[in-house]
Amino acid sequence: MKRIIYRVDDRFIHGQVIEGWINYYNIPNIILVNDRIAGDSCQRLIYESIMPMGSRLLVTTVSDFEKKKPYKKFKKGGVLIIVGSVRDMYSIRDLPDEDSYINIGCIATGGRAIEVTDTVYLDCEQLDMLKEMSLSHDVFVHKLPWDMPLDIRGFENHPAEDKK
Amino acid sequence: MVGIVILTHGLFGEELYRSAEMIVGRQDKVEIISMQAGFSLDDVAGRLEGVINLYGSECCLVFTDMFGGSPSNISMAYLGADTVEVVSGVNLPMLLKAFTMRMDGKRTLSEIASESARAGQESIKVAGELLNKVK
Repeated sequence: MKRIIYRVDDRFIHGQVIEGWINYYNIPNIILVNDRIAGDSCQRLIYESIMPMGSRLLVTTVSDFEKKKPYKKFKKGGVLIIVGSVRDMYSIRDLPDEDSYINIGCIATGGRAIEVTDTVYLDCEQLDMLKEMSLSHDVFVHKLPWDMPLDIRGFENHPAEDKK
Repeated sequence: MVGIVILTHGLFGEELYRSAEMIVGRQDKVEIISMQAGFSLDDVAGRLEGVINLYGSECCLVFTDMFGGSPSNISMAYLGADTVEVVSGVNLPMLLKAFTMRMDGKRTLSEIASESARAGQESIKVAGELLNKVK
């Protein structure tokens, strides 16, 4: 496993993330990158309260994450960085280094999005952004560690255009 | 009477309620929200908010399946209202306790939540360990 995992998940921290990633790999450092949650003390408290023993949570805005690169201060153990949307991941796309991996976990259905897996729905714009990121990083649709990861580059055809 | 919401992953809540009905009969003021794969947090939060608004000034006890799961995280955002309480880890004995306790109109939301949680916890037994104690 790469030391730094970026996860795109619009449910942020939930059962799959806690049981499937944090506990499974004993990841001690979790960073939640989201403007809305960073600015909402109640939401921050909720996510802090659900952290498993031995894991600490840092909540930050997208711009602070870009400026401060807070994952650099975690020298030991894995780091799980959670963003709520493909758009936010695209905003910080220049940050992941060789020791990182981008994981698409949950993106709810909406608009013209098509079903990639039972928890991941992507529209044309999202797929384009992910494909662009895949030129320089590993980008996989990967709900749980024990699932077979799907390489985003494998989606050769634009799914929405196929439906036209 | 305190309203009850069962908010869970998948159809667990619906089946749990049906099982409870087999024991204590049909219940009033129960709403079930099933969070399916592909639903967004906003979809589910909107449905929960609709139910809480439906109950108005009356109290509402939200049962969720797993602390840390999305149904629980969504529900906890409504704890700021004095009329809402959330209990996670819902099981059948917990639900039955809530249904029977709320029939006594004098019981507060906080009492029903605490007693239900206790009933749920106390119902979890490793039967073999109990038998070993008896031997």
